[in-house]
Amino acid sequence: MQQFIRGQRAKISAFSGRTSQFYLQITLSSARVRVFDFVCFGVDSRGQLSDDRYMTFFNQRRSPSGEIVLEDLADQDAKFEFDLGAVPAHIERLVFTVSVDGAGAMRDLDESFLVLGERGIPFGQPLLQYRFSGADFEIEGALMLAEIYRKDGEWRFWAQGQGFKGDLSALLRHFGGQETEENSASTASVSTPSVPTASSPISAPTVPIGAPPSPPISAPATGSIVVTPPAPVVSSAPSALQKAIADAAPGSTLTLQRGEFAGPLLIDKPLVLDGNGAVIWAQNGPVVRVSVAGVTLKNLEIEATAPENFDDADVALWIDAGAQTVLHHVRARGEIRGVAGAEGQWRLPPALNLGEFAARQTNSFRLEIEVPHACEIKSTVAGVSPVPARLEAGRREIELATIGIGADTFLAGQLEILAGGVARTVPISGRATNEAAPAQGILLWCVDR
Amino acid sequence: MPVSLSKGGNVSLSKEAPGLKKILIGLGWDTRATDGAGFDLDASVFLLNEAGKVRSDADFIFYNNKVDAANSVEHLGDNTSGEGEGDDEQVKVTLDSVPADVAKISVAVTIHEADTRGQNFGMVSNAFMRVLNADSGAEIARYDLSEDASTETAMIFGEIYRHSGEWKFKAIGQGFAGGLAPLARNVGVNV
Repeated sequence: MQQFIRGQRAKISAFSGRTSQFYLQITLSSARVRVFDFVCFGVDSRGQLSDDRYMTFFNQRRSPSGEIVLEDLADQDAKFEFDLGAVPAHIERLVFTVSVDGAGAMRDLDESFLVLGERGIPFGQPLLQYRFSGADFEIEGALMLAEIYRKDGEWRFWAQGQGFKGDLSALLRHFGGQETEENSASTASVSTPSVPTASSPISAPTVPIGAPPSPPISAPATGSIVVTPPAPVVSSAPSALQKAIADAAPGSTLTLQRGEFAGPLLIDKPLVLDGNGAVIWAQNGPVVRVSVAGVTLKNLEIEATAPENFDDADVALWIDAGAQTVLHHVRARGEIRGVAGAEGQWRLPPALNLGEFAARQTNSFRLEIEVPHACEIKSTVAGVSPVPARLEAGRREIELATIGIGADTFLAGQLEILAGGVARTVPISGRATNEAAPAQGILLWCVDR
Repeated sequence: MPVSLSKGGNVSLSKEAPGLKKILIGLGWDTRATDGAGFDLDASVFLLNEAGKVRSDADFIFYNNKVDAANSVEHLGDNTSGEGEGDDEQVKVTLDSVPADVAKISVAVTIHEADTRGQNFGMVSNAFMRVLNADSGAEIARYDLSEDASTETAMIFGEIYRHSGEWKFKAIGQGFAGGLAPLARNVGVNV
């Protein structure tokens, strides 16, 4: 289970590709504040509670179709269960909040945490934990602890950890909701969502998603075509990108706008696909398959994000026999098939977690890998360097050294192993802290483990 | 119509604004909407040679060293709260005066006292870098960092660089582990 710190963001697919159902468990601890309110606000693209059926809390424990459910509720902890695949398109963000019920503030919290985990599948795993305590806060009485939000067609997680002084009312004001006036003498915990009325400015039942998506550009006969990432809605329809390829004339250049495109993708005519730094991803591979000769791929990242256990699910790039393809600045997370100079037995770790290591000092880690060709190794994380930077074919040991990384710095990047014009990537994560002792030659991974 | 860049993208300033002589680099971010210690972000500029290093420590332009030796790059000062419309910090560059051995001008932003305040870029909203024609005030290009920032406390937002006789602007959005000091050391500044 990965540790998150305040401010950290990640695609949920980086942790889990097996299910759209998750739980978020919040466990607070405080000797001074006895009772907290727990609310999940489902808000629109403007951050407003335009549909207050998506305010999930003790008085309304289920959203209309049960997409979000407050499953367990106690004074200091709560568990929400939700199905991201079922959340309607006008709900852009789920904001998980806590607020004090009565006196006190979040600086009175003792060690507390939340956990995001999988559900609805056998062997569902807890995915990540975000720990926090009163030391992180001052006078805030209401916190937006975490958000799960749509971005470029994918759900992401953000350990927000910021808030307002006051209580639940402050959150309601922030999200544009209203309190019903019950007995306003005490402001303690009046929290029924207002019933939408004709005069309410926020009662529109549905709000279209923010900016209109740019439609795929109609293809001119030749020349360059720009393809924009799809609208931030997960769709099972044939991707805009696949359609752009179907519409493109042979020999033309397709330029992607930097962003993320859901695969899989089949390239079945000769053309140039310039990714411009974009990512094409799919849970299972082959993510990108080239079936004809004369294709050029450049400036592209291809990721098999969470392959299941079947043949070829872990293949990022698949080039058919005879489909000679020019590769230029192509990076792949996953296997590569059909590229001379990149094929063979590669034995690389799926990911490298350095764990917590000593800030501001030199830490050293080791890993053993097996490479079938001579290759170059680089790290995209500043302050983390692999030695040696060039390997001959065979089973080889690499040292990874971190140098002078400041306290509470989270590392997120990748190791790139370049051969045959393609870089295989291995995600690197870790965190520098003042508490950890310097790592000296810790073995992270070896081939026969 | 200014050009909007995403991370890794670049644009030719010389082509977008022919005859361009002086540029203003504007950096901005939202003031903190939530309660708690405010965000105080500082811009720093590094004049780098072909090798990606400063020629001397004087090529590190920041709030304590606001102008380079050739008087080509000037830091116009700090806005400590991020309040107000538009840019929070500005840097003026007189392109013709930039010494010939300076290949690029790298612009970094760091969070002041990030460690003690427990802050990082993941908490800051709507950070951007833009380039304006200093003579007309017209915006030429802009880069909105939004999702590109996370737990870093120092980031290279972008760079202005020479390319085949032109000046270009590239959106970098590269977080740097460990704050300003290692970032500065990385480009050869003695700190």
